[in-house]
Amino acid sequence: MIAAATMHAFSTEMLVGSMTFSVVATILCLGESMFEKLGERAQRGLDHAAYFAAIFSLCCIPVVALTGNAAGDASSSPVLVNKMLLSGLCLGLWIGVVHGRRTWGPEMWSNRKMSLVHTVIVCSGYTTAAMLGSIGSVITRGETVGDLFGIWPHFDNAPAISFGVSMVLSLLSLTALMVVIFVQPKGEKVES
Amino acid sequence: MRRALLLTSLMLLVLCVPPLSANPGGTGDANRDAACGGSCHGDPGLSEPSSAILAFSTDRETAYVGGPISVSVTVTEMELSSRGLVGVFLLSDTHGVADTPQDAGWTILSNGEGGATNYAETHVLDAESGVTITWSLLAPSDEGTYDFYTAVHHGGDGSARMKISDANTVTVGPVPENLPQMLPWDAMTSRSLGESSELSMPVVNATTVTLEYRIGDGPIASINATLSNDAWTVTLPAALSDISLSYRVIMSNDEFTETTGWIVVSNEIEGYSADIFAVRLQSLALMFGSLALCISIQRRMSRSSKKSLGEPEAALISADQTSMITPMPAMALPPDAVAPGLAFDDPRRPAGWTDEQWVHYGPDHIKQNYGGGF
Repeated sequence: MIAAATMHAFSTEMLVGSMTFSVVATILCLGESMFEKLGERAQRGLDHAAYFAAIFSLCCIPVVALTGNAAGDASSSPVLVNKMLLSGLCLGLWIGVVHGRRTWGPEMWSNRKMSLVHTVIVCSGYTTAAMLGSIGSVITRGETVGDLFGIWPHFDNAPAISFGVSMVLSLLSLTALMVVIFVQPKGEKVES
Repeated sequence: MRRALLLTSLMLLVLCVPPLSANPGGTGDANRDAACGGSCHGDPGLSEPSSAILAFSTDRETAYVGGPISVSVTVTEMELSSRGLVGVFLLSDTHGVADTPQDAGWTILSNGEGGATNYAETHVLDAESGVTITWSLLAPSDEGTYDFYTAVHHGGDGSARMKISDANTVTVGPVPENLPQMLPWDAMTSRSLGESSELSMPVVNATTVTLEYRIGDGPIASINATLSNDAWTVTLPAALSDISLSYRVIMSNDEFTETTGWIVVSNEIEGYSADIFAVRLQSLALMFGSLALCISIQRRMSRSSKKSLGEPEAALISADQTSMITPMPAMALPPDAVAPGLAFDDPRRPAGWTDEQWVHYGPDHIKQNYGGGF
């Protein structure tokens, strides 16, 4: 039987690899939409690569979260609590990435504003995943490459929020999501 | 040419990958077999030999069945990583499975580092003076000769390293009649700051039991234990700061005096505790919140993008909503309803626009897309 920690390391590597691929392809698409050096065909290819890598990463995130949950007890460690919170944020942002690309379609790269917003969301999701990896590195290896940046957070403290307040927060955010999904007019694909 | 350059760059990047160095931050004190860490410290492809010198010593030549004994392992001359972290093992075998002293029947009262495990990590400042770890043990319940192995895991010069000693034999002899003895006992190895601790020790054949304690290597203080309900009890004073406190038990009667090894007490700084369900709810809240924000921005931008194409707002209402509009009876627009110069058969009129839309939005449409008058 393979230990949960081993499965966690394996799925994390899959996630980070595909996410990095998606981010690089997205940034190249943005560059192409601004400087037009690679050509439309290359941009189309990069866009599809970024999209499918993002979908694959999205599939990996729950596996990583579940195996990580089985590998350690978060109730006694503020670092692991922060990891759980960031996992939620990462999942939300990355669903947003896939949703945005699906809603706007491949022609979004012809709109500079949309390209920028999409890239910012992709980079935010990736930064969150990098923070998660950094926490894992501090736990297992005692150090992180993020320390090279000087301002990299270590997440030694976690917020102490009661069950009741947490329930209210989650209900509020769920309501906000429902309002956005069912009340706000639907978005449409960008046409060339 | 470009491809060749790209391939060369990739190959150079592969060559730049540094050698692995196991877990430079350590893995923490625990009960571990000899095989632990072998994949990094023992793999010939990833590790290098250690120059460590391992010295094994005990505080007595033989132990009695169930009796106390202290085992010290001194490690010197090892290479050191920048962290100076060294992990020391006390093993009963080197097979890789079930080879802790506990597997051979020994009881570990203390590992000298504030725990009761066979593997302890410590930081070493100087390889010359090295480090000594002292385990306080209770012997197995069977007489015989027992082997002990010691091992060390450490880093140095960018490589993981390890060394295992040869066997060191300890003899466990029969218990002399009337020897004061500690029955199987879970020694206290950690406690909260500011709290005194009452120790209850199952000692037999003793007329006097004394608890000796010290702070660091300072002077030794002693307290006499009292017998109540077949157990000797004594209260260890509270520590008011994060000090290194150790204690040992001296059991004596008219014939013998037995002493346990020093047992080190670590101080528990107030532990962190979180309600895991609350944390899960907070995680969900963050997920829903961030997703709502993303979708909201994306939908809003999608609408403003359509707007910028010059289409009237009515055209942005989704198909489902337009179907809710009650169809108006066909009415002829009065001729003065059309702006001057705006003809119904104007070639600039978008296909599918009703007369009403053309009357209301036509002028704006022409202004935005054809830049000026009719």
